[in-house]
Amino acid sequence: MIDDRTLVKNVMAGDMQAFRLLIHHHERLVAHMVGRIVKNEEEAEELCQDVFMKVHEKLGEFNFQSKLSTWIATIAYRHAINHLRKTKMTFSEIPDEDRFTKTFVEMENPESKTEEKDMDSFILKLIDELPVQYKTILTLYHVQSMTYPEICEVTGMPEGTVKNYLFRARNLLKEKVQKYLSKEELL
Amino acid sequence: MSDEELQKQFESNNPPTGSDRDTIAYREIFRVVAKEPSVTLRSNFAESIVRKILAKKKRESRRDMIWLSFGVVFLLIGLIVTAVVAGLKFELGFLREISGLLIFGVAVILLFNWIERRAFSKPSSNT
Repeated sequence: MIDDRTLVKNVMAGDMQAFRLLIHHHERLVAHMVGRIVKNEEEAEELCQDVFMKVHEKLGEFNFQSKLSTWIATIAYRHAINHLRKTKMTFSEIPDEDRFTKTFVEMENPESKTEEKDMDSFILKLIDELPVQYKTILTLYHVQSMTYPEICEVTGMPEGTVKNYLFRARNLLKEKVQKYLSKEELL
Repeated sequence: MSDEELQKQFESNNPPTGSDRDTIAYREIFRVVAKEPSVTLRSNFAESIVRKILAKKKRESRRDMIWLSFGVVFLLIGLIVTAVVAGLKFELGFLREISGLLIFGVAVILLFNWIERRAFSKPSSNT
């Protein structure tokens, strides 16, 4: 498999076949990042395209201080967040801890709206309802298997905050899953 | 066991096997969060990006040519206006004396241009 350095060098030399390869290597990462933040599929795909256009434009600035995937994920995260801000979609900054925890845990369970009974769909829906920063960190840590320093680079958050958000996100999910399991036991 | 300890254990290679409510809930969460979200990108996703980039490059190149043309035209107009206002007379007779050097200079420039195109042309796979 071609290494990042060679790939970047070839793209910089104008080799579009190398850029196609770069896209294939990283399209899932970008799609996961953007898809977690922007729910509309068409918009998400448009944003993914914009991310790779930006990657092509800025590749000369990439200095190999980090992994290429981390650098691309950073562009994807910032692009998706900017899109949310521009379109004024429901972009929830990290809310007040106690208030959010109370609202999140007490709100109606998604499964009661959709009547989906399986645990996977239930948890995935809960993740969608978490604040953007929480679900981004969950995706980077669990799906992309990124380390804490890599997540810090992508999100621009300090390591302590990343660890705290990851803990809180999983803790909130646990509260809801427990409620769901108790309901199931009663049935 | 506290939530923090439980989460740490699930992150380790030795996840807890208990059947208390917290452990069961975390087991489900750690199983599901690691699943890849469903991705629905078009099959020609990469191709459409490459097409967009090439189209953008073409547009930029055309725009640069337009600006260059404007620059040349305004330079000539400026030259003519300056010559007229200052009453300059062009005496180009000296060119006859250095015609050999002039032809040599133009030939060298053309040669360099040709070599540059041959040496630095992009690979054929770039479209």
